[in-house]
Amino acid sequence: MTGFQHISIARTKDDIVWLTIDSKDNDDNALTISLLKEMREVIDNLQGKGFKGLIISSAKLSSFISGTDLNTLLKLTTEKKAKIYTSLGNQLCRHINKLDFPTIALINGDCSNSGLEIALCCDYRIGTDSTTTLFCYSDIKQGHYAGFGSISRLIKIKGLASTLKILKGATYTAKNALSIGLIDYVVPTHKTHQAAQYLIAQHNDETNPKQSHFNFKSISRTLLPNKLQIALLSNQDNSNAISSIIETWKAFNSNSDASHNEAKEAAKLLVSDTVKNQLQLQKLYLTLDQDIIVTAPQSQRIHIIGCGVMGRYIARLCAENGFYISIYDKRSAALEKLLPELYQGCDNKNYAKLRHKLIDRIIIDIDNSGLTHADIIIEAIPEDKHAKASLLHDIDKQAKQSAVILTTTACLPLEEIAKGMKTPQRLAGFNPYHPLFSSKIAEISTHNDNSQLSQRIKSFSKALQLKPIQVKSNSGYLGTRLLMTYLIESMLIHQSGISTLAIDKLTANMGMSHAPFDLIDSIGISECLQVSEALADRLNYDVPSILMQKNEQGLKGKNSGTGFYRYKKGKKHQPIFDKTLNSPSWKTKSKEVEKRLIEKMINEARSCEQQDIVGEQEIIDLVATIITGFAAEKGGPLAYLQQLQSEKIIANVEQK
Amino acid sequence: MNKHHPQAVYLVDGARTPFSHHLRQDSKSTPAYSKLDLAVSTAQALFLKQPFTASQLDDLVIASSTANPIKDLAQQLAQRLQCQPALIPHTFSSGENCGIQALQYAHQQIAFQQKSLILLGGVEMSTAKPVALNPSLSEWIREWQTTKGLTNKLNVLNQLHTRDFHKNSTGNTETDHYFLHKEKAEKTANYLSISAEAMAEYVKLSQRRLKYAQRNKQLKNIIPLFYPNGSSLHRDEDIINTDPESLQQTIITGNPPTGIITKASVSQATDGACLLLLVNQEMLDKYELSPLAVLSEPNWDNNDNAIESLLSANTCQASEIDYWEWDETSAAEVLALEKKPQFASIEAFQSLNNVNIDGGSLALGSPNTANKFRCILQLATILQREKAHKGICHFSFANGQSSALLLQSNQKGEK
Repeated sequence: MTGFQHISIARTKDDIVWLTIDSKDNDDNALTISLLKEMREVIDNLQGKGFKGLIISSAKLSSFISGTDLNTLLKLTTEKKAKIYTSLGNQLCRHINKLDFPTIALINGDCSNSGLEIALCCDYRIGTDSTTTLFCYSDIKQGHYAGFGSISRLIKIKGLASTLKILKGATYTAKNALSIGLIDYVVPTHKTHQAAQYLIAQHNDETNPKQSHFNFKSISRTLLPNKLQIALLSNQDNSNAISSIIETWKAFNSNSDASHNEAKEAAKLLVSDTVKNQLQLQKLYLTLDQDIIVTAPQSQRIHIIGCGVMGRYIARLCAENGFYISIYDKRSAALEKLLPELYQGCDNKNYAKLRHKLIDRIIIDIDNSGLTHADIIIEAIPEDKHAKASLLHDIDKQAKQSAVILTTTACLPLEEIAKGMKTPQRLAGFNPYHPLFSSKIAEISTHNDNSQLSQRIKSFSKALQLKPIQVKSNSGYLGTRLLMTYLIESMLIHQSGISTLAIDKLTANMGMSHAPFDLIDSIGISECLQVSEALADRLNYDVPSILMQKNEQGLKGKNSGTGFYRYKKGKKHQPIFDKTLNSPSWKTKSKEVEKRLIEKMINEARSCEQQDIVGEQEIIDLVATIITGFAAEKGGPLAYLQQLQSEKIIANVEQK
Repeated sequence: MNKHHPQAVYLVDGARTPFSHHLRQDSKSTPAYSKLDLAVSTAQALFLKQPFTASQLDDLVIASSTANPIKDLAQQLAQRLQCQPALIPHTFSSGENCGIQALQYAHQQIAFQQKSLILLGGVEMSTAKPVALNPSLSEWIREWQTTKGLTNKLNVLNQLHTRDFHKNSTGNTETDHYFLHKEKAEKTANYLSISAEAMAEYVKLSQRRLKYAQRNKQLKNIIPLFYPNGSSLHRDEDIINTDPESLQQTIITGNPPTGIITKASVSQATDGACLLLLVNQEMLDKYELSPLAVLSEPNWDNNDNAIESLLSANTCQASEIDYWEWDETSAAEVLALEKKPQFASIEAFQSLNNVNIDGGSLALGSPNTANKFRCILQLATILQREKAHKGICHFSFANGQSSALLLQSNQKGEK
């Protein structure tokens, strides 16, 4: 059994087979068709040859099997092709499951999506206790699943309700996975081999299979009549993938045909437009920081000026990624806020670790003395054109020649604030967005396409684990423009007499992941006003009078307790009765509102495209989905526009 | 190789925290703010101003004399500053004069051992919480926990007395050498017949000078402290904030029945940290640094005669010295300068005009070792500011020892 490209096979003295996956095509063992085929071939040859056990492991350092390769998924354009893929995996899993000796998955690293399905079809799963060992089923959120049949296997053990909970859940570490019964043992990395061999020896001795974890709640749910269970569950979520799992279960109730049906259903989902759109965006997202060399943290001294929300956020990002930074603010009251924020959520146990990894790397600087020797200087003061310009002028004078100056402005164009600088060519825009979004992307823009500088900043942002997006210097850049259009339109709609709650609910129904008024309150009313005033002239809209009113009343948003909503101890206080939602005409009205919002956003995205703000139009879609929360299954505003247009053409043709 | 030609030791920069009785500020949610934290934040701020980083340190020498010394203080500091793992840091932690011992060690390392960059400093902070439970109450609790049975418990409960709830203040208790200093000051004052009024007058002078320096922003190397609970400390506090008139009153009227020395006429033990950066010529040239001063080796004398031997060792006259920094352990000691016969020839001491011109530890409070380095740093900045050439720092200790060192500003090179 040799000649395999992606796997290696070994047989030990005591008749145990080691199947080690080492994919040639990628670094994280993502499944491809050829890998699946090789695995199936091996498994088929093992049956009935008197082996004592099979151990599946990975040769990669930080991943077991990290889902299916994106390019492979994207190539499945027709339902037939998709079905070949799902049934291939399905067969593999069934064969592994039917082997007449114990099978063990040694999970050492990332194990997600289809990888998790393969792990689940083994008799035992052993996870290592390293931090890279993570389990998740993120595909469900994107509306599809692998269809290898392991979901019905999991339902058989754990019941429908808890299975869906696991699938929908976030990422699990090895310890968490053990507690919910996803894996059977957690061992240190150096002991995995002994543990696997020990388990096989044990398995052959014992006749009784291992009892699964007993969970009263899941049992009580399984005792309920099927129809009732389904009714309970289907209310909770309207995701396509979840409902298709429920349908499968309804029809087959976890007998052996269920896994066949799973493959069929998965194939259907895979070729649907919504999934295709999301996969496209994900692929684009992953390619953003390819081929960029990461900046070594030790080599750079970073100085941040401005200890506001943004300054503190960047300071934390830098420190967490190993940089040593100094932070300066002329108001010492702002600096005082820094340490309590860093210490938040830490108890005595992890204090030493936190101090070592975070706090000792951040130096509070009251004299601005870090400026002279810094290699990267980041300006993060509030959005005020004159203040920024004069500060940049001062920085330019004092900083050393080789230093790079970054500004975090989200709305002012570089040319305007760089007027006073002697060397404007070393100024660049670097905007990781408001910490609220916890987005993993950063907008980058340079003067006159200075490629050397932009390369340097890209490396820096990759070191901070942010995906760099090159943007043309322009008022509002890209993300802020799209976001403000969305927020301002929502406020204008609100001014016309529709309640905030109704608009927030409507946007949720539209698939937007951020509700506009929650967002405004969290960002802060005065900050929103500042940005919208800076952008109003350039982008041709009126600053909503309600925003100015709220600001004059001294309302600040979530932090102060009142904004568009009221907050008690940081929790939103929702009115029970809402006029708009309960009015009879709301259903017809909501369609109009929805149309108005989407139209505005598409228009803004189109004008961004026409002004050549980014290299590719797909990036506009990506930023729109991440920052404004535009429904990812629609593929972003521009892609959605194309779909609408093609649908119209089809409709027109049919009419003729 | 260079034993006969010692290398010059340059003081490049230094930083200190404000001196205060209450540097320790604990909050409930975060761990205690320790001596180490104090040193780390001072050192970080100091290195921020330098073109080199802490990883280039050749040695790290820390002195600390307060009770319960952390034995590996320097070791932990080196770790948190991310120094090279090969670095072997040194902690000096015994006796009142450990600060000067540390200075001497660091000086020799540069002068004779080819070390190029040394971080030297002193840190003092009371480790105990200012208020603690009464020991008798904790004893009672232990008894309560061990007894079993209802009647026994009732018996124990009966023993509880209201006096057990009296709180016990620990905090800055007066150390041994503090008493010795008082005794020494008492002796000096009696021997040279220095009156309580004169001492009160001098304390006021010291305070006035410090306030003047503070107002005119002449104290440049102070690093404010930021605490995890969101507060911060920017200036020297405590003694300087007391009203001068009331201070004088306490000195004159607060005297015990015998003797004339009170708490306010002897420098008080406070918390604080002060760190200096020492380099050699090679490092100076490499980074084009401008040093504050050249340090001579500190010399020791057992009979308060350090000045004379220092001058003869460095072949210079007392009249060449522009400024003096006299460690103000007590007001009596400084006032004695005018009256002691061996200083009669030194003009500067007759008027005290060039002694401690920015105020001293009588006004600041004295964190023992940190205060020694503060004196050196302060004198160096005075020399720079006044464009002067030579200055002498003098320290005296309770055991009768004294030590002095000569600072030469590099403006000499212009000659």
